Amino acid sequence: MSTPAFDAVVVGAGIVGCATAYELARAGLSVALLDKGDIGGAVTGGSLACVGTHMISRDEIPLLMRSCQRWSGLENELDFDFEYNACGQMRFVRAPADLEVARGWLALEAGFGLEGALLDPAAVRGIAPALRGPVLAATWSPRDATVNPFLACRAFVEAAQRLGCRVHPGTGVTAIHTQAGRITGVTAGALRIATKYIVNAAGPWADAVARLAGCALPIAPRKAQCLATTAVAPIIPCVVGACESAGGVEAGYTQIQQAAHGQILFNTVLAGGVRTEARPEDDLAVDRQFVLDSVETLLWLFPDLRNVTLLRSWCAYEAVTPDDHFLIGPVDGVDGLLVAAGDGGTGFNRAPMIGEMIAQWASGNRAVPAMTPYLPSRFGTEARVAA
Amino acid sequence: MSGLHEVDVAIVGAGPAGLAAAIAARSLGASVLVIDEYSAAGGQYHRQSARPGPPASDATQAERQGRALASRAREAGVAFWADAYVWAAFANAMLAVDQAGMRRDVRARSLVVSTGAHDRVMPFPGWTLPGVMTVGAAQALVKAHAVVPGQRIVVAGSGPFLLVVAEGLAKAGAAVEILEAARFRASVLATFLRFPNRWGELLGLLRTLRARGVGLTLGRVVMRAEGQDGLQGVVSQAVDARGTPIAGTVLRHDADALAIAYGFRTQVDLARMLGCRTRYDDAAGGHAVIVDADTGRTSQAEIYAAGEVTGVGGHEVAALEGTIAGLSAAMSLGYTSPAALSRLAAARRGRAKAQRFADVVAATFAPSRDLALLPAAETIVCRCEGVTRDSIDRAIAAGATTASAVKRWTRCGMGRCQGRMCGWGLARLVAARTHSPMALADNLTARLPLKPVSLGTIAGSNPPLVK
Repeated sequence: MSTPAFDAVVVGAGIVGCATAYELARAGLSVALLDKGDIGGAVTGGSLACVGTHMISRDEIPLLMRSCQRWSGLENELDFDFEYNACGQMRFVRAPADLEVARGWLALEAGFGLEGALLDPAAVRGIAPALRGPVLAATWSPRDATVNPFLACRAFVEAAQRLGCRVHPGTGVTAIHTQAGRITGVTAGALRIATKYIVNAAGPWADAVARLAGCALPIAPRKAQCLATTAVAPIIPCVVGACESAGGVEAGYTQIQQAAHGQILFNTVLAGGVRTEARPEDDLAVDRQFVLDSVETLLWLFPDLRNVTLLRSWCAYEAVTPDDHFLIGPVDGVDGLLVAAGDGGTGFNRAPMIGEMIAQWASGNRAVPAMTPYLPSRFGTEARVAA
Repeated sequence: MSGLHEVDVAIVGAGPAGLAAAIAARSLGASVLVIDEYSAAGGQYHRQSARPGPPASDATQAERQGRALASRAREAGVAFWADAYVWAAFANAMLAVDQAGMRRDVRARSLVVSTGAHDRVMPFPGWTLPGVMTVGAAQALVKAHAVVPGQRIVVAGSGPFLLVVAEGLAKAGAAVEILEAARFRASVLATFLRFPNRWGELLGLLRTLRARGVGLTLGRVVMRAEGQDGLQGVVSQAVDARGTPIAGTVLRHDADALAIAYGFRTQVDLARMLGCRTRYDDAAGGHAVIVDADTGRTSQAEIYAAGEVTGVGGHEVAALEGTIAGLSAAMSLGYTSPAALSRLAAARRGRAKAQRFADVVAATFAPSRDLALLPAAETIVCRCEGVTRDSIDRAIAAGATTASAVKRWTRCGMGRCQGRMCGWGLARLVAARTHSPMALADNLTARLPLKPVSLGTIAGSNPPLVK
């Protein structure tokens, strides 16, 4: 049997891999998309899939704005209803010290022309009447949106398939083949594919995939958990998060939103609860303290939800880099090996832009300006090997 | 918030396995707590009547046995939590329990998981009509609630449980007809003859059924249910020994109720949440907890499993496994008695023999692959979320190759029942379409809560409900 040949093979069918496969196919390349599990079954499936600009990353606001713009037109472009909902995002302030953090973010974002406001408790209730908890204030970013993470993946995958992309779920990469320092192909179990580009979009497994080509990537898994209630009538009209505390994500986070079908999705991680030594293969259990903290915070904000029932929970592993920024672009040392991983739990915000960058590079444009801050070479050889 | 309840041996599920485990562990001196989601111990096999007081004159043998076992356990000092279910298990065998709205936390030094199994159903056209229910639901209606679900009842699907429930329905006054999907080959009958101790049970059942005018037809599958606002009739077709429908054999049966199930699906979610390793055996109910047959120990330290969760084998195997697990759990904590080892040895011998019979039963009633052909394109597969077979097919065509992948794209199994109802049918469809083994296709994972639990209960601030 002859070995099928593709211009590019994307490894990992999360939102980044799916968007990248679509963009590569749209740029005219032949593409195969592989995943060791289900499409969108790992960190993407565990995501709350907020697509926004607010309080996410101080130095990536222009990229986030372009990404939001792109998301707002993707349902039309991909011809698929993935429950895009420009519901706005609110970040509640619980501690007086965080008021300054909130004002700082709003001022920074206003500098880029973004709308935003600091709401007093009455204004908070004007937007979310059921938010009766004693918050001090809340920031408001009216254009942030949510999407259904599963269906957004499916939209990209089906559009990519219409452009000729071949999709192989349940097909984990077992070997990467090179010749004279150039990518020549990939083996995934019984499947062998000849290709000149491999895009490593394997999220928390990106380092393991890179090692098949003799490289290392500074990417570590971080446990992320979430809870969902049974469907209830609309009560939470926007994304409700905790204002960033001094110390960033290390100081904990909260995110609460109501999905299109009525389930309330929520999580709270308190200070010190973010890091974990566990790896996705070892531990997919939802932790007791996480459940108690999440329920307590939700009821503190929305006391009327006391009689709502918890229905589901899940656990996924985000891919975290040392500087909390994605790795996007060619990996030094192996010609044709690219990486697009390091979501830090916010991959949906950037996925369409990442796909565009990778597609531009693979189409022959070897100097993609938007890619520069994300190049894996920023960590140098030492960091790569140390990972 | 209620405090932490600590106990030597906690047993989850008060069916034949759980009751036997409780009596065994307590007999060696261990403190024992049994947690069960029903108001009366006994599980599905020993299902208790709703009527208070002593068993009625028409109570089944199984009901009387269950009541006697529960009394014996209680008198020996076993604590029972009724109307209580474990909604989550965390590290160190810490159990989160919802007892009628009150949060109770339990830490057990040893844990016996005997959560049993539930009806296994395959969606088919008309199965969402009022009047169509699982065999277990029909039994619960007539036993626990003293409601006869219809006047003309078809009991269909597969497995010995059909006979037991048909007996209860007939005794309650309904006209009952049994359609059993399996055909018995001569080799099966020959094997059955090697277990003369089981003849009496079966012949007794068949005699009662005949006396009550209950018809039993082998090799017939319900293809669809008909009716406008409720069930009016059932359409069946004969199948060959491989389960494939035979042309020209369609029959219509007048019925106002249909009780249907193709055996049982193991309820392993708690065991899997605790990290116990499982194997896959579709004939024995799907995922089954792997145990050391001599002790009932799972892959996790101090966690034991007994009964249907280790593979559906019927009440006799379950009770013996319960005894083995209960004795082993107590002995591992240092409790013992002069007779403990000989009791353990006797239970092991009995279990091995009963298991051989259970294997014959499982092979006889193993579901046919063709059941995946039953749902029509527009048939609702997931009742909670209203997902049709057609939308499942489209998801599979787009690259969803496992039950979990289809769940994400269609919401099939994402609703209130968490796939208990549709999970097996969905897996069968996926396996049939993708030509993959059930062990891969049937991959919905267990996550908390094992049953919906109110946020107020989790927060621990609900007052106990007075029952």
